[in-house]
Amino acid sequence: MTLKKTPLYSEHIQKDGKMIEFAGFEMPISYDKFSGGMLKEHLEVRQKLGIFDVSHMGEFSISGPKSIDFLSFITTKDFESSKDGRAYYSLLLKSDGGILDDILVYRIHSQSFLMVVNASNISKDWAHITHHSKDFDVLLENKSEEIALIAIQGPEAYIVVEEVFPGAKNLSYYSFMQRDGILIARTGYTGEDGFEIFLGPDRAVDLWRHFLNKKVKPCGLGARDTLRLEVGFPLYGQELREDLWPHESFSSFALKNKKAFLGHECLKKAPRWRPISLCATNAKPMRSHEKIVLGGKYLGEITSGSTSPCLKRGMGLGLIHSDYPFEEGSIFLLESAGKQREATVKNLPFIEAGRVKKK
Amino acid sequence: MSTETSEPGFKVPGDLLYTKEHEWVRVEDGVVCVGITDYAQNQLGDITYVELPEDGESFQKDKVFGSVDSLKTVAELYSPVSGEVIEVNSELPNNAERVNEDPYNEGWMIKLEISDEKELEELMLAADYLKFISKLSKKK
Repeated sequence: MTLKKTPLYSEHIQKDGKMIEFAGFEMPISYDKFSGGMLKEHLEVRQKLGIFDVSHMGEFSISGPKSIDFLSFITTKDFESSKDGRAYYSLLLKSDGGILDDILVYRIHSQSFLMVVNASNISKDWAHITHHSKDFDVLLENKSEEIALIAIQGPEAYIVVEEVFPGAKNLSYYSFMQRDGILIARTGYTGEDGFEIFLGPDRAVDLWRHFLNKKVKPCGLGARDTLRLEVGFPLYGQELREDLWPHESFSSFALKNKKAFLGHECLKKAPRWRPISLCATNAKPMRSHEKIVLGGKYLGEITSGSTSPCLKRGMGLGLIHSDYPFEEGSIFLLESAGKQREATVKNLPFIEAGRVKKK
Repeated sequence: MSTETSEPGFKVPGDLLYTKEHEWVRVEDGVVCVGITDYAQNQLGDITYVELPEDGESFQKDKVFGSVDSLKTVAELYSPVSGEVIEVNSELPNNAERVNEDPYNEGWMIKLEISDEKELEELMLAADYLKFISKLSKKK
């Protein structure tokens, strides 16, 4: 299978990006020579700013008179109360309630929305929404190939974005504006303040180069993963999967729909799993599929793990049998390759960031 | 110390011996100091944790004596020769980034009292290791 390339592929090669396969795309995991590697990229975003090519993400346009009704059926959010120029995090569920994807929906106006989906799920999501759209007067268009996406994240991101797109600094979190066919949203996946910029593939290179000329460091998928993990954002394929219901994982907060949306019946069932976030006693990274055990009993496993660059401690999100009680500070054992080590429950986020504070 | 540098730019000091598993060995009066090479630390990426044995443990040549965790992956450490651990770099567990920053000095891992000096003859000289990693880099 030939891997797909984003419009910024040659920019990554030119900056010696370490390329890996991700969701069928050839993507940079880090820029070791140019940005100093994953750890430096991570800290750069926490302290200043960095940019990411996330053009692999999928985009579907949903328009027509019944767009709101359709979205309120196909997602876990009631879009009746949504507002123009706002973005909403939500989920697509299968009819049995299994999580098909986590998505962002941008409301351009009441009859025009943009749904952003995970790259690995583009074809199955497209099949799913087109199949379920038959009873609704809506027009669906898969724009994934026509839209490039640049994320610029970090406490200083607003300064350089404002220079190119005046007015951007006045956007509130999860709102967006459009300028000359470009959609500028104050959203992101790092926990920091920042923007995601949707634009035509032909214009992506110029904007990318502009930011690099402003000394903004390019960051790869590696830093993107540790950044989201440190603030406890779930990742599809790990915390969110088809074999999990939304109320058993890190996604209960996205259940904002009292209507009979697709898959809602699963919510009547008792959850089998409960999300848990663990911190290690040293900097050894946690890894997905490490077992969570206690007294020789298997209780669950780590779904995403790494080392927190800010805490210098192993950190992980996991799922544990729902009948097993725990609270912040509870101690479990992690088991991998026949070895065991302690891990302590720590409430999310592992660290506070610009846009994610402790409750 | 003469430092040879391979094509991809990895440091390979001329006074050390090397293994195919990318450990280096510095020999000083029957004691060998062991670490991982510049090439190895570059392949691993950001190292966050190093697991080392205790003083007094013995290892046969090519047996696992510890492991290195980076953000990306985990790699086992293989003893380049047989011997008993007489010292471990106690700074490493809390400062694993030293292996990235200075693999041949501050990033050293263990010192072994060697049990059979002949085993040293099986290790690679710097020039051979350089050829070895140049081939690996070309394969990619």
